[in-house]
Amino acid sequence: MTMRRRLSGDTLSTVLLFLIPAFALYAVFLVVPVFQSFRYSLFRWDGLSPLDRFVGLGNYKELLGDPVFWKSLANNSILLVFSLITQLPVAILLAVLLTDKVRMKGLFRTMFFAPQIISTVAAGYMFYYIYEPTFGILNQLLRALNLGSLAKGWLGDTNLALYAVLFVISWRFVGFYMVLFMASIEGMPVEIFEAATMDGCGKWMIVRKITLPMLRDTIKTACVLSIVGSIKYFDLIWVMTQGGPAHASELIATYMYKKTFLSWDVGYGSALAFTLFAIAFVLSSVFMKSTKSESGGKSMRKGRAR
Amino acid sequence: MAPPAKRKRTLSAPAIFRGTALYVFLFICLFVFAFPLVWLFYSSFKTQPEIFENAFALPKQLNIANYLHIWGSGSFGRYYLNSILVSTVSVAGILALSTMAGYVFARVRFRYREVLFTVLLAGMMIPSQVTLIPNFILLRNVNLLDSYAAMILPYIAFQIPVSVFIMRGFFKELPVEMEDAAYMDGCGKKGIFFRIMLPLSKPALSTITIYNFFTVWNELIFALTFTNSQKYRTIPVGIMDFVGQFETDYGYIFAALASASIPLLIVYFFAQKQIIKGLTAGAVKG
Repeated sequence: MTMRRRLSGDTLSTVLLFLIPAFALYAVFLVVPVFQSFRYSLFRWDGLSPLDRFVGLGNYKELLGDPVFWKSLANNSILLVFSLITQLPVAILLAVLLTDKVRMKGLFRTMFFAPQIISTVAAGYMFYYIYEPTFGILNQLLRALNLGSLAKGWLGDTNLALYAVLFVISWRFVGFYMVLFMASIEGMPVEIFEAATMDGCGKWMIVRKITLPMLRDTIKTACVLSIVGSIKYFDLIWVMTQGGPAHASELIATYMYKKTFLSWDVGYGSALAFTLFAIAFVLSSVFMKSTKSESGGKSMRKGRAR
Repeated sequence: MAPPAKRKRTLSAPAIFRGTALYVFLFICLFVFAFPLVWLFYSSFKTQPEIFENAFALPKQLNIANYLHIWGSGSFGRYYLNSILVSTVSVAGILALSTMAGYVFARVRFRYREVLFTVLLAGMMIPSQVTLIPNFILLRNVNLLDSYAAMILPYIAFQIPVSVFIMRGFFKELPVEMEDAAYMDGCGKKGIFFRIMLPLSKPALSTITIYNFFTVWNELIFALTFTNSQKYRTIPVGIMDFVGQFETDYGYIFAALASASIPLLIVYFFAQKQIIKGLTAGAVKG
């Protein structure tokens, strides 16, 4: 169906000139480092002396016996599950409500999305001061409501610290997913909803039988984003607790950072980094595979055949 | 199999209840999402005694002393300039490289094109944390640690896959007729790109500009690792230093936190639609 064009000088020079800069940076800062990361993980190394103490899979063996690694992995899993069960349902609910007839829609949408707009680090410290035990407004609010017994040292409590930060992460991301779902719902053909209403379907029925099934691909996308995001997460934990107290909110990424740049155990840090990569890669490909075979193939390619 | 209920537009008691419940719910959400931001903003105008006296109260007067202090103290302004410089140069680099590559992947036919594109897309699956250590070693070996380039080069590299993906999708949608005409007139591939494709791609350019600007402005872990002097620190790391320094000077800290997001908020309220599109653009890939 297409005319076969010979690789002319113009084509060749364009391809080279236009692709080489992008691929050069991509190779140097993304691709090679992944392999380097694995290579470093086979050594005991402080990052400065020559790279000559080869230990094979020794770092990985050590990892398996390291309680902090398991704690971090458990925390990453909690983060993953917590994100999936809080952010996505709330986001879908808000998206459904705000795409229906609601007054002040613009105000709600703007304000629900606003946490996504502010600087991550600033959001972290804002909540750090909201959670502050004595002057923080959360405890002050609880005391004012005569619930003083619920006032806690949120970020200093080993049982609460992780969840206190998880709340902030969800607070930031609900608006993002809401907007994603809203765009998807607004793109659905109006006729279907009209027809369903004519047939006497209630709102709840429409959501369950029409909106949710049609949101399937977007929900899938959101799940992948959420899974990968949870496994590599670093920012707000680092700002608010640095993984503390006593590793209670440690994540693989924060542990890797500490091991590498605070204890200069670079080989071990690399083993953590590579493990993180492997987990993210396996989980997201398994998830993609399982949902893809279910839906029976590539809906992505549709309409792009030109 | 819904019961054929009579759907009339009269408001029955349960409907009124449902309507009320809806707004109660939405306003609770509004409080949860927006109050912390509003509180931070008005608290940044309070004096230290005012904050200690009542953390909830509005400021008695619009007191800009906190802002004057932090903006006059040198380091904060420096962080800001660094952030603006790093974000601008990074975004310019991303735009240049990803439009060129996106054009080639959309319009220039050659063998291995799809393979190369898949290789590039795979980059979206690589978490930046995984490359942190090798990139640190690399930058140290070439003497680039603690410089603007130490942030800008990796930022460009990491944003290339998603940006190329967006640009390629956009170029594919453009009609081919104009190119054919230009072709007839003896215009080469590069000429077509610069004279026809680029001028047409403003919407896509604004999308990736916004997406990348927000990402780069917020980036923490590379900036934290690849710089160590105040001279090069950007806002995210700078704020961490700043809070460590002023720990209990709440007024200053609140003013600094509010300032850190002001450029983002201003852009948001002026270009909300584009921003929403831009920020969610990274998610288009299923």
